[in-house]
Amino acid sequence: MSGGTSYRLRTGGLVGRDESLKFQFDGTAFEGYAGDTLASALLGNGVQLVGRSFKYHRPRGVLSAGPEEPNALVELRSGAHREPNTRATTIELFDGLEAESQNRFPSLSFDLMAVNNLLSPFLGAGFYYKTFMWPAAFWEKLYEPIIRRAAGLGRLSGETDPDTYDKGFLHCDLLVIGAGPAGLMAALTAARAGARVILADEDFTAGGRLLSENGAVGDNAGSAWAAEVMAELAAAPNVRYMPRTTVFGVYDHGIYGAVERITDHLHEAPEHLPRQCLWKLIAKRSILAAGAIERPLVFGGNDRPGTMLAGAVRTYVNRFGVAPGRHVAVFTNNDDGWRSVAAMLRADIDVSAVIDVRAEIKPADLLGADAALLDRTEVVAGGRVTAALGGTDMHGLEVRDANNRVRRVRANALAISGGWNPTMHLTCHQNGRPTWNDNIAAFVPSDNLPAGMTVAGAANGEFSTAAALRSGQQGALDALADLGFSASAEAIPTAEDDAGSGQPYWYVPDSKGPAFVDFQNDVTVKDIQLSHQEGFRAVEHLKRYTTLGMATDQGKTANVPALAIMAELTGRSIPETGTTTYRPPYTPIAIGAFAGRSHGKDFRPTRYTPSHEFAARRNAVFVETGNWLRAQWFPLPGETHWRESVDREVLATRASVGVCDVTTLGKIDIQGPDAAEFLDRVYTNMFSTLKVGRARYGLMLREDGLVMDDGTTTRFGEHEYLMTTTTANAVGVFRHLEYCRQVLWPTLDVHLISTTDHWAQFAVAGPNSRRLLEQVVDAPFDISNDAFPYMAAAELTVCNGVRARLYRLSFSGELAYEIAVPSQYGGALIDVLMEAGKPFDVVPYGTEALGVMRVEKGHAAGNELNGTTTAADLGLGRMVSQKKDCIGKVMANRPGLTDPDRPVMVGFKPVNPKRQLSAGAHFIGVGQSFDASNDQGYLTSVAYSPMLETSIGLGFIRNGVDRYGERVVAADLVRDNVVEVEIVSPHFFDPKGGRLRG
Amino acid sequence: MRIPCPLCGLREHGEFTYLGDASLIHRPDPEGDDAAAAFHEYVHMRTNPAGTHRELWYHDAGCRSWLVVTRNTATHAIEDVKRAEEPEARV
Amino acid sequence: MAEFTLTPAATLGGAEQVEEHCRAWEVNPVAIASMAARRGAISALRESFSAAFGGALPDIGLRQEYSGMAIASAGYEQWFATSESELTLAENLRDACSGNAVITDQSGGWSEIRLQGEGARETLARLCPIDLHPEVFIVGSAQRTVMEHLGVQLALVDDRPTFSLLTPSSSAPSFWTALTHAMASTRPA
Repeated sequence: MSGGTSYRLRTGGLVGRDESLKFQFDGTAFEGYAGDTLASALLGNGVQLVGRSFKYHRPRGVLSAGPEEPNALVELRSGAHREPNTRATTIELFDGLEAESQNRFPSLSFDLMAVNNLLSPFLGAGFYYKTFMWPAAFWEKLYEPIIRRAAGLGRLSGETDPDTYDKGFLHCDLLVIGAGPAGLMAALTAARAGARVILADEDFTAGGRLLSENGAVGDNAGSAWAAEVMAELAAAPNVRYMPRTTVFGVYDHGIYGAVERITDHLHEAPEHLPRQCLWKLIAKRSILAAGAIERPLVFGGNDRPGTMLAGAVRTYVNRFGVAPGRHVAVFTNNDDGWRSVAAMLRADIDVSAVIDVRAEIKPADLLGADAALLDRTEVVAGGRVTAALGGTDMHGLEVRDANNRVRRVRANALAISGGWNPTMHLTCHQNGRPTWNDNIAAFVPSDNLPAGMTVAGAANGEFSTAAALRSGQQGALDALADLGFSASAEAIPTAEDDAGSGQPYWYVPDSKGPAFVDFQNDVTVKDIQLSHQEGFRAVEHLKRYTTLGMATDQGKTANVPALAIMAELTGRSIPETGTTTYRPPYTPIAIGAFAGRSHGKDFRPTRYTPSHEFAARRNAVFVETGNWLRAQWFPLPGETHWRESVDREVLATRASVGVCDVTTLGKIDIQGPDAAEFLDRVYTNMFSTLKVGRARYGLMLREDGLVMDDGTTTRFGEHEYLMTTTTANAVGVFRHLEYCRQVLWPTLDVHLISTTDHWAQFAVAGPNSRRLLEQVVDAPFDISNDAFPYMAAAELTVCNGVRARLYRLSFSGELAYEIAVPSQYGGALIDVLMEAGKPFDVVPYGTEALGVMRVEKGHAAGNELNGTTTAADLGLGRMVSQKKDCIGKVMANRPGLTDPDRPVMVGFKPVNPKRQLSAGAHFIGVGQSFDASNDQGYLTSVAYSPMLETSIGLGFIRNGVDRYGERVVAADLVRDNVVEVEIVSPHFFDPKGGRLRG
Repeated sequence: MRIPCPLCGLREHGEFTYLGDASLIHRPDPEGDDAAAAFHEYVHMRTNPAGTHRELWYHDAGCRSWLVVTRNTATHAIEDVKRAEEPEARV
Repeated sequence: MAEFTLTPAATLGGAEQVEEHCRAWEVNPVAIASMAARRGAISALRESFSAAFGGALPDIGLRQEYSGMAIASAGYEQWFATSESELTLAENLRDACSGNAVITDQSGGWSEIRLQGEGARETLARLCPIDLHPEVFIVGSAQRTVMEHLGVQLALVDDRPTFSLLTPSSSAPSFWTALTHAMASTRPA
């Protein structure tokens, strides 16, 4: 580890020098101050080497002071809380912070994988494509493990993320993104006009570049002005300031994605607080004041630890009170680089040399009075740095002057400035493409901005502080006028108003050693040249071939220099060369933040049946059906296999009586004078002829003629029906009916409302079901077979006056009823049914037994209503009334759907009753080969029938009804289960239906 | 996207369910001579314009109205929203 | 002859959660009924409603309280009414308005939760996609929206503020979990 000596300046900076914070980096204890970032605290302790690069494992130091950082990526925290690839430059220092460097083995200063650096000639552009090509057999065994071992920077913890996250929605008139001079001015202007303002800033202290610059705003330091504005905004009830919040994406119609880091800066977070909150910000207007990101200059060894962007140097000096090194050189192509010279000179840091690519420069013009401090600094006008020398730290520079004379410069740190790029990522999220501005030699936002967005300050290429203040104010005034607020332009405080100039200069052609364009992906000038040579000349191809601009920093410092170099190679201008665009997210977002609260059992809502607590008390095994949690079976003590429980439930129900919660079936209340007509149009069969107090099975088609859903519908009044749907299709059928009502037939006077959750409904099935219910139904209601026959329905009262509905319906094939009470009575009713059933040894049964009994009865269910079957396929062809139209009727007559060779639903029994069938098996003629040309159909539902003591199934096979008794093979090649079966009637049990009418 | 529901105001598109081309409003006459051809056209044939498109959306999580939304499929700009029941939406 | 009785149970068991910045509780018992105007009968319905209950049916986006009953718009010519005192709410509405409206008892279909206190808006910001700023969502506002994947009928009852949240009863426990989580995570540090 380099350093060891403190680079903390004696005075200066905005850190809280009276609050010392202890932290660890790679196991070594350090101290920093409140207000430090991890990067500034490490530099303050003289630690320049902080990471190893991705491909070549080259030693790397801190390049920037912000989110653009490509090098200083660390693993933060430990154990399951460990988060890889966090940028040391944005991590707010806290007491007890633990971080580790990444991508090094065994240690940061001595890394064995750095041998890759020696192999670099072979690891250039397109390395993956060229190397891992063939033979194909090598992929899984050799290439993939190698790539996996080498790939990635930090390590995931491999454990479940223990942190909690939250989500939310915030609304405002004006969203201001960035709290630098432009953003603060915009927020202040809008706040004073009374607009609802959200000011989101990724930093933990507002001020942006004002915290880093020496220039004054008004009569005070820029940071003091920022603090003053923040005090006013904090007191304004119409302003929400969101520090530590990154707006990462712009979506349609004024929606912005943002992540707020709520506890990341705390060592021990209060338990109730989420670590991060993902916000949807809904803004009528927005002002993007995201500032600018400085470009590095590209020359040999420009990745040497100690190399730092010149603007970042000012940040470390002015904001954090830290020097970038003992002897610092500056290499620049523009005036702004000289501000770093001034900042360091004022802080009494030794500036050993300033190398400016421009020959015609006058330090006195650039530095003003500060030029007097240059006495010990060598100025090389028209020069260039050809190499940064050293190993894990910088030993000096090799410089060529305007006359190409080589000289050595003493430096253990180097500030570089290649000009600035507006941070306009968010302007491109809605298809905007940046345009090139020759005056500042940078891309700027085009006119094609996301609707409602204005760009202000450096993000718009307006680089002086005064211009930022002006454009922030103007942007706010424009937005306010649009929104109908009256506001006037108040006086703007005076500030530096010279954006300075520069000379486009991208790389040093005659430099020595690898010259890095993309630090994070180790892409060099040579790689770009190679890519060009091999024909990858479009920007998007360059990016994919070299991996330039990928990974966690997404090329924030690399893209424009790469493009410029590419332009030079192709002899085109930069705008002709084009640019890659930007997509969300602006910076990496933890996956946990996208999940928010929705993980584990809260991943989606759960719907509970009214008998849930009862079932839980009875140790039921639950199954998810859609969002519902239903009892699947109720194991008794001693039952070790689910089949034991299910067989018992079926046998007990068929022998005496069983009760099953069927609340989950969709229920739709259909009322109005045209209810009958409406049902005739949506069902294949007639409902206008149904008598009041009777239920009927109904079949519904999609408009394309295939079966959509089925269920029973009951007529409770002349103008009142209750429809039931399958559990799975409840929502879809309701939507479909509303579609029919509103879109197709808006003149029908009919009204729909879902009552699925209103009714707790239980099937009471078995020969003793009537005797059980007689104890529950209030007198004088008569449920005898004569008074209340099969398919009867009534509104009545139960248990001394509770309003209920009773239906004589049977899914099990037994004498059976369904009884419904408002859901708040459901928990009590199941207990009553169990109590009343005691004399009959009543059992609760679950969905598994329900399924067994319906297969025994040959009723089609979800597996058969699978979106490919017609009414005729299901043996229900005669249910399509010929007297009327209905949805799907015309299309159901298409030749393909009426082909007599279509597979139809029949039953199947294994020839050997001990064999088990498996659903999904395909039918092949006995003795035929297992290929698709011999496929005759497939098995959809399978159950073990305790009544028939064999596995049975429902399925579809060609001409099935005419083939009872024939044998075919049910081949399930996936599960390796091939069973000879007999084609039989689907009505396995009580085919005449005598039991249910009893 | 946010869809301006004529009853509920601007709402996130997640509250809505998309169906498709608003030509579905005009269900052919099942008794017509060319019913089979007309229904084939009605059920299956769609244009897929890059630009203005009239489409049906259902405000599932809001007022449960079926809406005719006139939307630019290229920019997502929403030009008009009407309840499907309104005569003006049924042109 | 029936010898059994049924005791109704609140979906959430009458749950209550108290934080320093807000409080949430399940309203129990509460009668709930939906009402939709018959086609072409809206004027007649408005008249029969006013005659029976002494106040106008609320327009879209609004909620009104009349003696013992609150009624909120729930869609095009549709309303949801709630009452803590009139447990025969659906019948009362039917008596007053049938012929001009269809009415359905929904007492078992929805659970009503109230959220009250200065932190209520900050809590709901974690769940609710619509703007609840006091000048936008004023007292008497009613909207149906989605929170945590669940349908919710939301209304602002008073300016304490007290929000009424109706959510389907089968999934009310999931909604309660999300709500109490949001209350905790917005608790002032």
